[in-house]
Amino acid sequence: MSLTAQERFEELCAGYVLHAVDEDDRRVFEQMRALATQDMRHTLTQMQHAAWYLPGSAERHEPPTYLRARIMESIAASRPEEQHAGWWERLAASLTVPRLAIANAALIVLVIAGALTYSSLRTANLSLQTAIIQQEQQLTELRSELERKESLLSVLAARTLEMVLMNGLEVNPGGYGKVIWDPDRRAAILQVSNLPTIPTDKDYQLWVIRNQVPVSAGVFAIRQDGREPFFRIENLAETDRRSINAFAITLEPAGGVPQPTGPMYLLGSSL
Amino acid sequence: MAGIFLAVVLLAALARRLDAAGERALMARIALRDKQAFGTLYDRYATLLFSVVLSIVKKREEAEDVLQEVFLQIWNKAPSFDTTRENVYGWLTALARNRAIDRLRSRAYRDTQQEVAETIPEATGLKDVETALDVMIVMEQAERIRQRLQEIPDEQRALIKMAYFEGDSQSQLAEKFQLPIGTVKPRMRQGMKKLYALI
Repeated sequence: MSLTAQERFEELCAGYVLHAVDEDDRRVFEQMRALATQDMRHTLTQMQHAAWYLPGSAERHEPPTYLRARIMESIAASRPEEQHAGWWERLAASLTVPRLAIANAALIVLVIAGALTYSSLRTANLSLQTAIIQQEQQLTELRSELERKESLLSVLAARTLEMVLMNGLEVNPGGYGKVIWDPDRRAAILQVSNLPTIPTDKDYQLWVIRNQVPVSAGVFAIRQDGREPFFRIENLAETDRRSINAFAITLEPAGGVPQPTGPMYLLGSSL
Repeated sequence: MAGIFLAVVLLAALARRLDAAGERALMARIALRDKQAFGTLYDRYATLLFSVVLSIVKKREEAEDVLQEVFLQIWNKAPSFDTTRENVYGWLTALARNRAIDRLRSRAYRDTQQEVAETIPEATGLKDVETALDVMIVMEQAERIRQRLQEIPDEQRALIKMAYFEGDSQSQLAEKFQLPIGTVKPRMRQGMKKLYALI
């Protein structure tokens, strides 16, 4: 029984988050991850979340109390870098007693000033933390998007490319799309435009018509998240270009079906 | 002189504020060789990491050695910890697990004189988890996590636990359980989906 792209992704993902995938599977997973659909990204987040709880499943054991002292001693003995901590203590210790007396008076004044500025520092600190968290999230999204686009561009950089144009049918005449693939490297891109957004219980399914028989090449969705309609096709790599008659896109239940059942939105002949 | 003390007091006040600014700030302080921050991190994580390590190496004395190595590694590597990309909880648990599995494999090597893998890379692959999961949440829910794990079918739970606590790959698990890899993968997938749903 062949798996849908989502099911294949889930299998690889489970092994990946447990650090249990073999090297070949890890490479495949990272390629799929770069072009992951929204559902796939959701799956990854869920499985990472589950894996993160596994350390908590270990039976609880307290380390012996002497271990803390032993470890603190060992870091004191280690000299990986210049010791930076406590430089202000060393500075203060280097001062003479009369200087300290003056300093104590100054300290009282400064503590009062410090208390007044404390609340404003706290507010500023919280604002900065919030801004940092937001920027980290944006950065993560941008990195993911960049990886995805680099992967798409790597296909377009091939020496020879094949392309099939697809046109909209009665149900959505304004739609169009194309399949571009690199037969040498067995990588392909699907681009679609003007396809309507669909609910979460539906997916678009791409079909390769080989010798007049439709073979699923994966599912994708157009949701209302503004994502560009470019998708990586995985299953096409296994097909012989000369035996492909056409490509078609139908609307199917989420996850896809073995044979097309829903309305056809796009169709394009490869000849 | 007053300027120096102003700087001293303000820095001390900022240092205290950083105490409350979360684990990333704690790591930043450790990177600056702040032993007090290191002690705080130890108090917060030692039980969890010791439990993980002991679950893997099984021997208490060996677990103590591994835990000491882990914390020494934390101290030495804190300056290279990227607070903008990595999560402290994920980094520390991966460090402890990897170190313990290394120990397990080197012991297996000593026992059997068979070839063993090199040190596991420290990259966790989990750094883009956006959930604000931390050690306190996991420790508070540890018993619940153990119970939930028991609700997963035996054949799925065994694969998950052996992958995590023994570092076995899917192909190694297939060999150990004498199952086709095509059976191991869907079982692991189902188990992880159930675990997430239960948690």
